[in-house]
Amino acid sequence: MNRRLRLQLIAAVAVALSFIGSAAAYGSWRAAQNVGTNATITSGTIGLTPQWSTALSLTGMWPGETRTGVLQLTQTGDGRWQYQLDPPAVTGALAGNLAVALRTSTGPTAAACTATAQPVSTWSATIANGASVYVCVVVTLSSTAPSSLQAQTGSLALTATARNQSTY
Amino acid sequence: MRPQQREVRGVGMSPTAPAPTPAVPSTRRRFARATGVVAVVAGLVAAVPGAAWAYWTITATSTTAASANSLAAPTMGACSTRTIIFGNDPVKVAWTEPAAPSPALPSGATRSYLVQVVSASGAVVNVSSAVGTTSIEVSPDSVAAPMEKQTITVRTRVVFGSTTWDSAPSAPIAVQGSNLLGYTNFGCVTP
Repeated sequence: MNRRLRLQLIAAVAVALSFIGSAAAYGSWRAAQNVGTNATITSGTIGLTPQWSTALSLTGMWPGETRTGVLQLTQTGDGRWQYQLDPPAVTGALAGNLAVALRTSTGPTAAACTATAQPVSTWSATIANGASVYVCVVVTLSSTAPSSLQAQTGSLALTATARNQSTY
Repeated sequence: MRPQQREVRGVGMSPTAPAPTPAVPSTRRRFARATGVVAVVAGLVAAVPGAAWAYWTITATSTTAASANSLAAPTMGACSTRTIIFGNDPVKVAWTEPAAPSPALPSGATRSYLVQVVSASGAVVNVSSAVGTTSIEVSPDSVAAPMEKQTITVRTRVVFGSTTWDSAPSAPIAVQGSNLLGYTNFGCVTP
């Protein structure tokens, strides 16, 4: 048997063993029981609703002024879930003069905001189905904003991503 | 068993070409190739059950409009002068205060008015006036070239901690000096 053929044979055996091994992992005794007929099986759903439990108004800001809002993230769907926040994005003429800090919040009002920074770009711990999370959003117009910035506008975008987790 | 003959194949070889030195693949290379095949297959086998842990994800964005506040300009009054016997006649600059800013200014911010006199040649004289004062007089003595046309406007000025904001200028008035018996008197002219 030449060496090439031998190597091919080794590869084939390895493949076969891999499949056998995978199957063995699921091999077990099986018992089947009819649990009923006409049962409907539906896939789960996942949805995410962001809403302000404490409104964040950013209109008519003065230099050095800070405004605070609390964003409530609610999962509308099945099962447990996790969420991840993107870094806040400020666009428009106010970009560069509007500082946004995210902090954790234990409740829906600004009084519940903590001093702990809210992680971004990191998946949260698993959250129970139906539970909401609150994120404190603290926005400050730069204390050195120039006079030319008067009446200029911008937009703050907060993006959250949710993903489902197993029920148990 | 007969000893096996190694078959030598070369790309682009012609039947008459001299046989090249046989390029014998090293055992190490063959072993690496076989190992690679096994690894790919094992990876594929491992990847298939991975699908069972796939997530559903959904993304939502909350967008909030933001704007910086602005200062309203005072409303300039009509141009008038005051006659001083045996003196230089000044111009009286009067204005109406704008409504208080909304929302209210942050604590520590101070509001005032800035009367700006700009000569035709570009010389600028700024006169600050506290809130509550709605008129001042500008004497010909206070400008460098009173015989030139002077354009006068008023702005609202707010000093914050680290920056100063001025409103847009009010509508202008204009004066120009004239000599009478050795005195320079401002008289209203068309801006």
